[in-house]
Amino acid sequence: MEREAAGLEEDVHVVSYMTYTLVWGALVILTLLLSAVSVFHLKELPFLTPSLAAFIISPIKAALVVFYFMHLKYEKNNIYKIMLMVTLSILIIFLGLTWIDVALR
Amino acid sequence: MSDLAGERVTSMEESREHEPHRDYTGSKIGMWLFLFSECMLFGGLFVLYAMYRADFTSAFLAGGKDMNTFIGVFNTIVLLTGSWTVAMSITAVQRNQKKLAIGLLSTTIVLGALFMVLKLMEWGDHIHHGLYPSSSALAGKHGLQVFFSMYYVMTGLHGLHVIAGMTVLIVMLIMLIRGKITAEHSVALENAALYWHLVDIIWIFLLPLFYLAA
Repeated sequence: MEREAAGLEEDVHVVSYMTYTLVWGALVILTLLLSAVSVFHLKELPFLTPSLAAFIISPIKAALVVFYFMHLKYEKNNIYKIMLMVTLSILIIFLGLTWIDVALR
Repeated sequence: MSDLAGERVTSMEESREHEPHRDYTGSKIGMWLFLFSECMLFGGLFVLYAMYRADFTSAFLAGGKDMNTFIGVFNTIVLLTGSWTVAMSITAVQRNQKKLAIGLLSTTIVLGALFMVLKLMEWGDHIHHGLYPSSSALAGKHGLQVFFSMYYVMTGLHGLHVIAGMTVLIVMLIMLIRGKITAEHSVALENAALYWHLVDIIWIFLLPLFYLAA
């Protein structure tokens, strides 16, 4: 039993401090970038509206947290990724169908 | 010979009985399932926000101007930093650096408390300025009342999650100090960290909806 438990722990990938620090840095930079786009309405980039920036940057930030901080990238068992896809699909159907209802009213 | 083998089996079974039952994969899957149910809870509120915003677009943009963007962005960085330190505390536990793990986990708890203090100050400021549903300052402004209803419900529910997360992390800190969380048995801390990261992800989406809406 002990050996089994130890074996399982050996399979767990230990993420380095450096990886976490780089991800944290990226998250802070993306947050500041998103805020800058919203506050200053960058006139040189008229296509990059605050809403569009939020739609692009927020999911990237969430993905960084899920894949690195929450270890999803290092999980050998695919069940977690499948469960995430199912959840995201349900959320998209939920949002999409409600949107169609409101838009075509 | 067969007797000897039989004895060995019995002694193995006995030693198994002394080991507490552990199921690493089961614990992890259970936690993820719970987190997905949380996604659905907040997902419903995000749908509600989207529909109200479609109905009261100008009021939602005006409501965003009443928000303190600096505090919103600062609080985001506070939560992101807390997620970073709790993630590193797991690495520290796995590398048997107990003191470092205790320090990192404590930092996360302090950052969670800082987030809540700033949030409550912000709420106090809004209420002081009459920015709450059914206040006299917002009388007749239906759209703004809806905006502030959504604001208090969504940030309030998120705040409850922060308090719950901090409570769980404090329990983890005590378990870590008492040696109940080790490199071999760290799944409790890993699951607590997963919950904290989810709270962080929800805030990532709340920031543009309320603070950067103007």
